[in-house]
Amino acid sequence: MLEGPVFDRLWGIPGAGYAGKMLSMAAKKFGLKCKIFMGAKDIKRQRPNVEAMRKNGAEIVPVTTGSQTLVDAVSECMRYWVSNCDTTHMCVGSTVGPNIFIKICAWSTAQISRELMKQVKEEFGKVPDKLKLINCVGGGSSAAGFWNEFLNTRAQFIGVEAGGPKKSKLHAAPLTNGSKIGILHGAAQYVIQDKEGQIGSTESISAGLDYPGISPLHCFLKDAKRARYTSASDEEALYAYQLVSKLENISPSLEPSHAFAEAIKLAPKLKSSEVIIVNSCGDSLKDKDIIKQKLGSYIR
Amino acid sequence: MKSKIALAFDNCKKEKRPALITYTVAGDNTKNNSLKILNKISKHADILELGFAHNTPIADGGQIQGSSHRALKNGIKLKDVFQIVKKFKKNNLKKPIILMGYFNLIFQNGENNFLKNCKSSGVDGLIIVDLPYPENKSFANKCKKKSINFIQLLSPTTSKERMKKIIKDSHDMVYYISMLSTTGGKLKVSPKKILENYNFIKRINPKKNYVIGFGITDKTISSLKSADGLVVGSLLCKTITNSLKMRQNPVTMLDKVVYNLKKKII
Repeated sequence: MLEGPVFDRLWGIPGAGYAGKMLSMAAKKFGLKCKIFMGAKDIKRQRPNVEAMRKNGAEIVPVTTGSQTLVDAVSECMRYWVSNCDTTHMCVGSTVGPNIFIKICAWSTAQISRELMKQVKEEFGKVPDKLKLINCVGGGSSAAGFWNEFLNTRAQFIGVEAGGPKKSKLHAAPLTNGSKIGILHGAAQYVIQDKEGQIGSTESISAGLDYPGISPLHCFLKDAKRARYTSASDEEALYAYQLVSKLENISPSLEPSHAFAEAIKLAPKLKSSEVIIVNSCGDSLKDKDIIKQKLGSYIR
Repeated sequence: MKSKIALAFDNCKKEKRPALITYTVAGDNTKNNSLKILNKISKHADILELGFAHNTPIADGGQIQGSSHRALKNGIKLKDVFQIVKKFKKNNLKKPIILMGYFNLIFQNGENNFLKNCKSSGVDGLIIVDLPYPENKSFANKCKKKSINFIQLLSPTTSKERMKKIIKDSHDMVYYISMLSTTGGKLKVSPKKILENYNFIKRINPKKNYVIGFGITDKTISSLKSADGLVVGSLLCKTITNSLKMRQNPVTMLDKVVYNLKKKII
């Protein structure tokens, strides 16, 4: 009933804008039109990434419904996609949404753990017996990629969700806070919601983690007790960002700063034979506006 | 025993016209008004779809999102939706009502509990937008056991092979989505093309009742009247929005619009 579709467009949804940046580069390379759906709030707070996407020729579509963050951007991108799926591919920048999108995303991000495995073997000769891989978790794409090659080793996985502001009741940590299973964006998952089943609001300093659900992959890893999940507050993440930027030659964005916060908590309790690897999955430059606002200045 | 939905289609066939199916959201613009609206428009409509609002409605365009938003702002809960159905059915026992919404609300309510509430309030059928075939098989079977119609969805991207399976497992009514769109999109496919697809589907099993929805307004409805049924939703939600803007009574406004729609398919 359908003629052969011609795909000449890529539409995507990033939270923090990193996936959108990559997508806009790919679209530019292959001469495809590219639309990026982003919550209006995220467009404001992730300005540097948005500018990079525009430079690559992508059209940024601000989403002004609901909380104006990732959850609404995913909804809106799905709406556009069902209306245009004869000419358009949807690219989801996280391991969320219906089955196939999770697989595509996790397979792609898994490259980082293939590289990590190589580096770990070069450094230690083998996978250390006591190895902790710590990663922030919003939708869960970077953690899924970071852990993938290590699933069949004894490495411990620790996922760090966004605990939100210290005194706020809002957070984006459905696994840590025992949210119930619900259905969001075409997949069953632990998700922040009320008794009726209305999806709950979230709050986090980090745009990339500000999502009420969590990848079904991580729900499975939690239920199977293969990974452990915890959260870090906005304040803890900011402190970790400052400490790591001061002591190390890197400057993590606010997403991995959540993972560093957990490493900072854990490290004093460990023996020197134990190894921690934190995935610094983003650069602070994109968060300079937020950091400036919170700490008064941004120094890299 | 034939379902009320099947009987409604039988009646329309006798009158040689399609069934007029309306969609409004429970609690829009108030709980009371949505009941009044159902009472009024049921004089012209053959089957009433009633939406139970969800705050992440991924299949809905702007108009229905607006209605859902108003309903949720009014604090609408599932129990209120069932109350509205119950009150409506008191005076309109024979008029079929179909609840339409997203699966998470049913999932949280508990499938069995939800169906029990459907049964006791008089719900005749269900359209669950984000519970596709074959994932809906077990829930659809539960519905069948309770004599509640589970309405399967077909779209222009559904393969023939898949259509056959879906239709085989369908109940009295099957919903064909006219085009690639969310609800309330502009009809971007010609009515001729839609009817071509429709007739193709109809031939798979002519005994089932097929309705066409998405993008149907007072301007396009008459060109599709050879179908078994036609669903109008976003136009009605838009009517409520406009009547609120112009400080008119949404109940009387909707009554007029639905009356007008009916006239165009007789």
